[in-house]
Amino acid sequence: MEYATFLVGEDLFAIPVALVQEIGKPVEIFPIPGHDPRVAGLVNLRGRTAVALDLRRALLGNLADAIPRRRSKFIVLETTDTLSTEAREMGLDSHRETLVLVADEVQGIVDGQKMEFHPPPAHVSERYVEGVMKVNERLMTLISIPRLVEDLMPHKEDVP
Amino acid sequence: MSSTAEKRFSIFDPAIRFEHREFYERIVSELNGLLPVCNQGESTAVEISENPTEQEQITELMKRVETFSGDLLEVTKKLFDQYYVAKEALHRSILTTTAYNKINTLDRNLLERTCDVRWWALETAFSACLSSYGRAREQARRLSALLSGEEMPSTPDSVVDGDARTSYLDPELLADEEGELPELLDFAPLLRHGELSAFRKRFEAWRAERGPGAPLRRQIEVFSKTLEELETAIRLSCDRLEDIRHSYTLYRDIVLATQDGIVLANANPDTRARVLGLDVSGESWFQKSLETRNGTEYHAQDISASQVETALSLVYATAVREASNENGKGIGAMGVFFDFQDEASLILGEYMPRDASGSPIDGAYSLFTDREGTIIASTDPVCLKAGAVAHLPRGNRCLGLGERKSQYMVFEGVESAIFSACTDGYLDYRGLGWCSHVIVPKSHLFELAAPPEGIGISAEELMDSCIIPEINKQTYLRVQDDKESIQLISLNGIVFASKLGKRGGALGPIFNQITRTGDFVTSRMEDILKEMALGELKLNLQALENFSKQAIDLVDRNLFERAADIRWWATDQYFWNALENPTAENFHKASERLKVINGSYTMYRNIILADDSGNIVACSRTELRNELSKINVSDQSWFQLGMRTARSEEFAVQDVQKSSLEKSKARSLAYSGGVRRGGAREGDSIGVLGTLFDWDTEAGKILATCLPRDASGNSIEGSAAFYTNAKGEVIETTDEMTFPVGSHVELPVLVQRLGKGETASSVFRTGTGSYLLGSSRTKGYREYEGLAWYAHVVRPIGAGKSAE
Repeated sequence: MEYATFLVGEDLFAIPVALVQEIGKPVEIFPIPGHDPRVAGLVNLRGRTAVALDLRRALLGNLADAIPRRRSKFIVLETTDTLSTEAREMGLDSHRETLVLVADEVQGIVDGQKMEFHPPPAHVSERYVEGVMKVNERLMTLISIPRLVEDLMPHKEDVP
Repeated sequence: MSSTAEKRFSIFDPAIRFEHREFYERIVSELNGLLPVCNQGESTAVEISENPTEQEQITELMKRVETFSGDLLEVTKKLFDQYYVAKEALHRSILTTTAYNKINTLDRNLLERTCDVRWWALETAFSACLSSYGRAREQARRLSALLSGEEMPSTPDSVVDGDARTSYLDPELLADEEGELPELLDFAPLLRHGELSAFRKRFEAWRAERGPGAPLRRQIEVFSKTLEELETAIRLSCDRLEDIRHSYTLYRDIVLATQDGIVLANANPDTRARVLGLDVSGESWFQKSLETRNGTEYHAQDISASQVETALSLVYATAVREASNENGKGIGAMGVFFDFQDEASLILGEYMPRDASGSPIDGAYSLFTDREGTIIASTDPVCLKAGAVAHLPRGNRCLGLGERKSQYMVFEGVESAIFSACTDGYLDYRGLGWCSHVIVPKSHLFELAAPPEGIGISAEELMDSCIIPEINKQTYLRVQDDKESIQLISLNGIVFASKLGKRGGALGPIFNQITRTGDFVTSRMEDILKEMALGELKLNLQALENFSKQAIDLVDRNLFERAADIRWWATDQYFWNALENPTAENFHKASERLKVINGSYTMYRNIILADDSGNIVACSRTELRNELSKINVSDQSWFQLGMRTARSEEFAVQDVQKSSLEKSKARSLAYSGGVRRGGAREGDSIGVLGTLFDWDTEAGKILATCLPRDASGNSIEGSAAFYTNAKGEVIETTDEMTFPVGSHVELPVLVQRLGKGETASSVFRTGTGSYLLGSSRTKGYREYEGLAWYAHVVRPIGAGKSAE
């Protein structure tokens, strides 16, 4: 399996490429009043409305500074419906709405076969951490989108 | 070099450095290399997928890559245009300012010279000497006439002492005397060095031979006395002129000429034997000086030959008036011979682009021309010989007052740029209409600047600052944007290919190639933009260094004049007379004299005479006399140092500080010189003359002219100029808010370590902001050492809109 890797703050994270629909430049985010600070707001993707998640806050904690938008990257995810058959066969899942992950920088695509996979370390309590991968002495955290979304948006009906 | 033409530098312009042309070609070939890659991508899409949507997606990505590479090609072309235009503009601004500063510095100096000559011509020793000469000549003429029996007495023996207007005559007794003393008829040759005293010996011998009973005894006795007086007066005049020349070291000579154009006294003892008795009646400075109507007028004689000096001379002249009265009748002329060549070479040698070893680069010249384009002085006496017409473009030869011009030309076979500025005078001084030119090889303008080392600013901060022209910043952002776009296209392409699984494998190398090329091209462009920014930074720092140097040089020159003034005034008769004979009347006279001096030299707030125990006995601001007479200054350093001077060439200075002499002023700068018995050149001081220089006003004026300016001549917002003393304390400033007088400024180590006359520049961060700083340490001027002061000029680096 191939992974898209991205930087949040100084840390490296990864998700399966199969979940990525497109990587794009930032567009304007419309904040949702009263919402969880980890949710940056709503964005308009060529007519489609999507929820944007601020990964610094979502992954590094609520108190982290929001990602400065000018230099950020938008990772647009596939929805459960648009997920390819291959991805489904690999047991991957996404969210039923279009989600946008706001990351500091997208690093590139790496081949999972060339990496060592480790299950999440015992002291890590965050449920969205699926495991840790080691490439060239560098560690990156593999995250599970469904669990991240579940943590973030327990009341799915609130989200358009 | 007009700035109006857009896109002046095509990549094929010969001025473009080969490194840049190479770079351009590399970029072009890289970007052109992307086109076949895109074609390949499109055909691969057809091979690997039968799904039209998928094919279209790939084709669209490829099209976008093509668009971006086309874009980048355009940006690259414009990049060099911008780069060279910006460099050209900066150099133009720096070098025309340099040319202007040179002529301005000269003008300021010449203005001081016009004050000098007018003031000195009013010295009583000179008018007395000329009057004495007038009497002697007249008596000689009469005596000669009497002796040869041509003149009959109107009334017998009615001689008035000192005037032989009428006399008794017995023609028979004189018969054998005819032709005995031909000098009486042609008096002028007697003024040659040593002739007068020789003649007096002959005359006395002749007189003795005639015996006491001979006729005209009375007239002859009177004439003998007059001759003695004249000899004394000439000696005194020469002494005073020498004193002046010792005090004001920028003169080669100062001469006093009689109304008929015979040099009576001069200041240079080395040339005295040749100069005294010269007939200068045919010289223009002499004729013009007699045309001046009162003591405020003078004549400046543009560079010309004079018998007085072997070198070409710049002469300031004015009439010496009867009884030293400003409005009196002209009875002679004073001409001061300014050491123009020396002064010009000092000024021309400054601010020249230098190589690593510190000598001016080859092909760089600096010169002054008069309004006809004739070279007055230059840094290269071989290519640019004084007196010849300079081979300059016509447009640069004849400039209007205050005009500045620059253009390219071929000079001595080298493609060069010439920067010219015409004088606009200084204050009320109109100048002589001269121009200053700086010539540098064109290649120097576009030399690749080695990035300044240890400058303390990152390329990113710099790109964000207001130092960088707006257009370059936009290009920088655009390149970064394009870089990002290409990266994203590749990333999406790879995401797309990876989702195609095995079928997508063929697309991988294509997108990798696109990523590589995109990265290479854009990062090289970023590099060159950063290089441009560093080049701009370097030139900006250079400009600030130049400004700070100008600021310290002007203050050094000004203080040199102050040092000259005090040395000269301390020898004035009124002062030593008052101290030797301390009567109320003499002190009053001294005060009146100080008042006259202060009236002509308005850059002083007060001039004070103190006796040897430190009591103030006279001052020019007579209204402060009562207040000041209560102060004893024996514990003040200007007084103590002034007392310690042992020769009239010495003076003392008390650095800028609070003084009890000026309660209303925060800071005073005092100069002092010892007053000696009889105005002698050596000996113990019997009192001290002190001057309180109007430091704040004069220094403030200088600083205001040394602020960095934008293209339209307005000083750049947030910029400031200030002086600090040896302790790092601000002593004068243009920005009382940020760098207030009296505050201590923590300057970069680089600046603290400056040697005499050195300059430095760097990034300078204070609690309130970040600046670019240019600093210069005092160099002194001629024999004047300076006060270990520094001049600093800063401009803010803060992010924000740049001046275009």
